[in-house]
Order: sequence, then structure tokens, then C-alpha cells
Amino acid sequence: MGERMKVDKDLIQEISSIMKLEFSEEETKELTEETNKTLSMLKALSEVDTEGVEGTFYGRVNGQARFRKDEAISNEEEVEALLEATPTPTSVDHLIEVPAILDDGEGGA
Amino acid sequence: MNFETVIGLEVHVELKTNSKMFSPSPAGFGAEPNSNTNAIDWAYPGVLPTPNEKGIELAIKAALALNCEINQETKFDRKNYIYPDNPKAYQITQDKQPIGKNGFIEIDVDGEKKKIRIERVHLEEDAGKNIHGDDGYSYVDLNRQGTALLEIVSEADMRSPEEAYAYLETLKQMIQFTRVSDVKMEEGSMRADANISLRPYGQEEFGVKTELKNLNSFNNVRRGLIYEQGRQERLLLAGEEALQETRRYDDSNRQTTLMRVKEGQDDYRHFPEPDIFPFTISDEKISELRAELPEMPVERRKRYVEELEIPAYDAEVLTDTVEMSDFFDQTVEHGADPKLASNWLMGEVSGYLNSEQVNIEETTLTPKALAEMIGLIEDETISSKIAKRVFTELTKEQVDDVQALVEEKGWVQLSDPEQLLPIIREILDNNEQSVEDFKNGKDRAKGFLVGQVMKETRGQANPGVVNKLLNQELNKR
Repeated sequence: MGERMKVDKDLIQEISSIMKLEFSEEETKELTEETNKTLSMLKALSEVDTEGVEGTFYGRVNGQARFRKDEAISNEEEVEALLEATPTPTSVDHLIEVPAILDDGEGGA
Repeated sequence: MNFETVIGLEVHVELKTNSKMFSPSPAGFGAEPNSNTNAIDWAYPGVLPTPNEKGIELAIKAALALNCEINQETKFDRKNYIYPDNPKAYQITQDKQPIGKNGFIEIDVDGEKKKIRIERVHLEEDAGKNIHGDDGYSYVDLNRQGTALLEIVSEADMRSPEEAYAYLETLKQMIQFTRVSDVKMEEGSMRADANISLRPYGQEEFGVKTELKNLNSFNNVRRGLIYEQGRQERLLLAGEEALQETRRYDDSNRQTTLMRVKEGQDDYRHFPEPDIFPFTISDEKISELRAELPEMPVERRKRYVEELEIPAYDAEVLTDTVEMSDFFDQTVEHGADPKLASNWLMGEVSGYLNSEQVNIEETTLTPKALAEMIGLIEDETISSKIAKRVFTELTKEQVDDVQALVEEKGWVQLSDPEQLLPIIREILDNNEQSVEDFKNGKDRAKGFLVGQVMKETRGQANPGVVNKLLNQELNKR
């Protein structure tokens, strides 16, 4: 974030479109302001000289991942609750209903 | 062709774990939609991923089998991904430190061997499935979301669709032998994407590549690449340039169609997965897993031909799957003659497996029982005809003592002349016309007499002995 970055309405709209989120005019304005405020706070941080210091991505230094044994746990009640709680009352054959997805070749792992 | 074809393949295989890679939901194919899910798979706020140890071990095993170096200091990363089949909006994968790197496999196209380098092997999670409705909605099944997935990326070392096909076959077989995955394309536990570009012969720089999707069988990979090769050549010959695009292969009209044009490199904005610490893979772990690796198909074929002296064709068929190959090895270990064991496995046994649509491990047949049965044929306790009946019994329930079964059923072959002679004499006495016919040069008459003996002994007479005795008796008359 070397250069001072100014976030405007267009950038917020671009990001929201990538994120597949929809914001009203008012919300967009609010988001633009908040994001700019946050960025100027971060700018203060960027003044610290971090030359040669490795980035920290974890809550603790030198942590080692802990693994799980390969045991499968089924929970029918949890599944039912999750399906029940979807925004659209779905469950055409236990499926989650979402707005149509345009297949542009990116889906799938 | 004026151009050289350059192909690289990206293969995904689902690892055979009981639970998912980062959540304890059951992993597997064919369950009711969304029944194998939990709050972690649905990406509810506050949930945390915990890596499945088995998934990591299987990934290391596969990487070792593919001759990779292991990145002993490794970690998971997030790749931004915004589709509902992964509600987290990112995929947990590995970016700069894949579990395996710099591997290779050797392929064989029409007798010509070639090394195909493997750039990387990394561990990630699979996405769920989107089912597209025609009512303005799509439908999501998260059962597959989070399944342990291995991505195997080759270098762009293949120069023809045939090489790509051979690479996939070899890779599939090697992975199958390590037993880390079912590698079933039809169930989606193995999937392939291909990158293909053309360049004038002699040019070092790669041409513009297209990425092919929807290649759901090895034949589709080959056909899609053949089509794409032709399409790009026509473009280049017309003085046009290929575009960097993603294309879908459509098998019904054997064409590829444009899905999207890519502008520059995709930016997935990878960053370290903060919810999972990095981890170290110890030397001990690597040697332990290396020790568990089975003998690979190429080595097995060589051993079968050189040590067990069975034909190269048999060796090829027997090493098609690890289950068959292991079964053959164990049958031979139990004392069966290798060629007889191979004949049975390729003939009767394979026929049975095909008609029942089962894997040899799912049957009641054991290598010990098969070896015993073959032994009984060899020492003429049973005829090969009776052996087929024995085999049917062996597929009904597990038999630990085949000799006892044969005795109990009264299937022991009658080879004793003392027992056979009276029967033969009686049949000759009762069929004077046939004896007469035989004397007059009608060979068929003898066949009839043999048949009568077999009928009388309910198929148990040893045909060789019957023939010999019958000749003797006929000559006496």
C-alpha cells in the first residue's frame, strides 16, 4: 500500500460485483467513506519500517498445525437445521436453491 | 502439420478418506444431497477447519509415487473463489509450497518411452455440485464440498493428444496402485483439464494456449485435444492468432465451444490460510509412507514376465488394477502355477466380475481357495469342467478348504481304472451297434461312447483315462 489509495464509488461497485453483492446508492456511499477511513488508519501503520521482517499470518509465531484423525461424523439433525435455515425455503430434494449460476468455466475446484 | 502441439494436463483426484479434508463430515459418493455436510462445510461464522491427517498422508504417498520431492515445510493457502458450491468464498489449497514438486512419470506410446515431468502435486478441497435448473435458479449439493482433493499439474511436456491419453492412463494406474484414490472418472473422483497450444516447429516460445474443460473421459480428452489442435492450426494458417480462452468440449458434436476469453493471468489473490498453522513433514514420516508404497505396475509387469514367465499380454491385463494384480500375486504365493492362475483370473474370474459388476475384493473368492482349486486341477483330482462348478461355489461363499468341498460334493474325478473298467465294459455291452460302427470307421461312435461313460459317472470320469481305457477295450472286441 505504498501509494496512497483513494477508494471511490466505482471501485466499491466493481468489488461488490465481483463479490456478487448488491448495495443501494446510500450503502455504497457509506461503504466508500468507511473504506477510505480504514485505509487512512492503515496508512499510519505502513509508516513503520518493516524492511526484512517476514509477514505474520497467524495468531502465534512458530505454531504447528494440529491434525484430526480420519473419523467421519454424521449429524442428521444438524443437516436438517442447516437446510431449514437457508434463506429460500428450498429443499427440492434436499438441495439448496440459489440464483442461477452462469457457467463460465470457473466453477469447480 | 506445420506446427508442434504442446499439451499440459491438470488432473484432480479425490483422496479416499472417510471424512472430509477440513471437517469431519463423511466423504463419499452417492449420498442424499447435502446429507454429508455440517456447519463447517456450509461456512457458518466462527467455524474452524482442522486438517485430516489421513488426507495429508495420502497426498504425500501419491507425491512419492509420482517421483516428487516433498516440501517438508508446507502450509495451506486461500484461493478466492466466489461460487455457491463453496460457501466460504475461498478454497483452501496450497499455493507456493505444494506437498510435492518436480516429479515425473514415464509413458509409453507405441513402444516409445517418454518422461513427462510433473510440476507440482498439491492438496486442496473439492467444491460441491451445482445443478442448473431452467427456472432461473441453480441448486447446490454440498456433499462433495470439502472432500480431500489432490491436484497434479504436469509440465507442458506432451506433444500429441495420444501422449496426453497415455499420460492419463499411466497416471490413473499409478494412483490406483497407491490406493489413495478410486480414480473413477465416471464418479468424478478423477477429472482432467487440458492446456493446449501450437507453435511453429523449431520455435522455443510457447504459443497462446487454450484451456479445455468438461473432459469427462479419457477418450474425450483425446478427442477434444484433436479437435482443438485442428482448430488452432486453421486459425494460425489463416494468419489469425489463437486467443487465451477457456473452451468446453462437447462430445455430442465433437467440438469445443468458447466459455470465456481470459485477459491476462487469473488473479486468485492467494494468501496464507490463517486458520491453519503451517506444518513440517518429518523425514521419518516420509520414509514410513514410502515403505507403504506398493510395487508399481511397470515393475510388476517386468517381474511377471521375467520371473513368473507369463506372457507380456497377460502381465498387461493382470496389472490393470492393483486389486487384480495383488490377487494374482497372492494366488501364486499360495502355490498356484502362475500361468494357470493368470488363465483363471483373465478368463473365468474376470468374466464373473464383469457380469456381476464387482471388484475382486468384493467377492468371496480368496487367493488361497483359487490356488487350492488350481492345485486340484493339476493333480487331476478334479477335471477342468468340474473346476467351473467349484469356482461357482467359491463365489457363493468363502471356502477355506477346497479339497473338503470337492469331496463333500462328490466331485472328485474318477481316474481309477479298477472303477472305470466295469462301467466301460457294461456300456460297450449295451451299445453293440456303436461298437460295430466304430469298427467300420465311424469315429463319431467313439464320441458317443465317451459321452455315455461321462453320463454314467455324472461327469466325474477323467476324460483322458476314459479315452485310454475305451481304446483298449474297443481293440479287444
